[in-house]
Amino acid sequence: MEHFAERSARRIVTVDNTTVDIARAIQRLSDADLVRLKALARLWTRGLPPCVGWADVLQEAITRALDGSRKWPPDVPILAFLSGIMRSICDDQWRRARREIEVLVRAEDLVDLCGSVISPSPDRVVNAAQSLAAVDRLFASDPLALKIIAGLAEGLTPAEICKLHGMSERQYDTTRKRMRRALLRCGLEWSTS
Amino acid sequence: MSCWEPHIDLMRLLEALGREIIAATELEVRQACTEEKGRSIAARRSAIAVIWRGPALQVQGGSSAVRTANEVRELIEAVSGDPSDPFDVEKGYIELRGSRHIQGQRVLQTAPLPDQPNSISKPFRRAALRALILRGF
Repeated sequence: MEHFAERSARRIVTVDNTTVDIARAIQRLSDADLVRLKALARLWTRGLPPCVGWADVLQEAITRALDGSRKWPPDVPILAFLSGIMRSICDDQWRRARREIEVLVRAEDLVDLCGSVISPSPDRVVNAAQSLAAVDRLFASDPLALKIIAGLAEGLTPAEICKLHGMSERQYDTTRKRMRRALLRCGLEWSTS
Repeated sequence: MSCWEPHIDLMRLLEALGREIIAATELEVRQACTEEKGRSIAARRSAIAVIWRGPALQVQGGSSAVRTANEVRELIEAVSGDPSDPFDVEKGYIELRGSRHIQGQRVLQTAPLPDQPNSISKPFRRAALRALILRGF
């Protein structure tokens, strides 16, 4: 149950069992979990319009978790749950940007311009291409990581990636570990601009 | 020939990389914290101190992990409308302040308050009354 305090942007949420569980899980996050959370927020910010920062994404994810707009599925770790919310924030932001364009341009004009009203906005396409390039640059010195990145972006499974590039399971796992460290490191350093 | 859709590739990639971050062990997190740009090898070595404490092997990742954790903790606490007591679920209600940047265009509305055991009505009304008195109506 959600209300807004008069004359302020604060939302007042009546606590139910789910909220209690989520609030306690967030309060129990260890230092390492919080570092992971920052890295996740930085990562998902890559999928957002440049004006949105990682702190915005993180705070909005916590808010949506606590206000009940997203249900916490049983057996899903809290970090995975929050990461899922950040993903939907990305989609929402681009959908909102799209709606703003639609207000300015009539729907039939959009069909003429883009071929389909559901096609992504040019901004999103450009932003995504730039973000993919940034991820590639991050692993530029690691050819095996680049192969894994390309495979993951195409939606391939680890077995398919190994088969495609003649990579052993051990090579794959070792590369993944290097990638994790790079991602965490960059979660601390990555510019949000 | 199919069209390249970078936004779909990106979302798939971010999901996969997000899973990697979640799966990272505590040791990997600490190591990453000590490998931040600009640190010398000697500084990294001294920062990763592996110490034996009872049955558990503890790895200290230096102050970087603690600093980052504190930064994130502060951000999370700032979500609460009551920073002195963030997410005190015992009150029966919590105040939330989401990101203004993201919620910028959300329409705020005041809804009637329910009469439930966990209802916020009394404290809310008291707070509202106090605010009105302070503002001199």
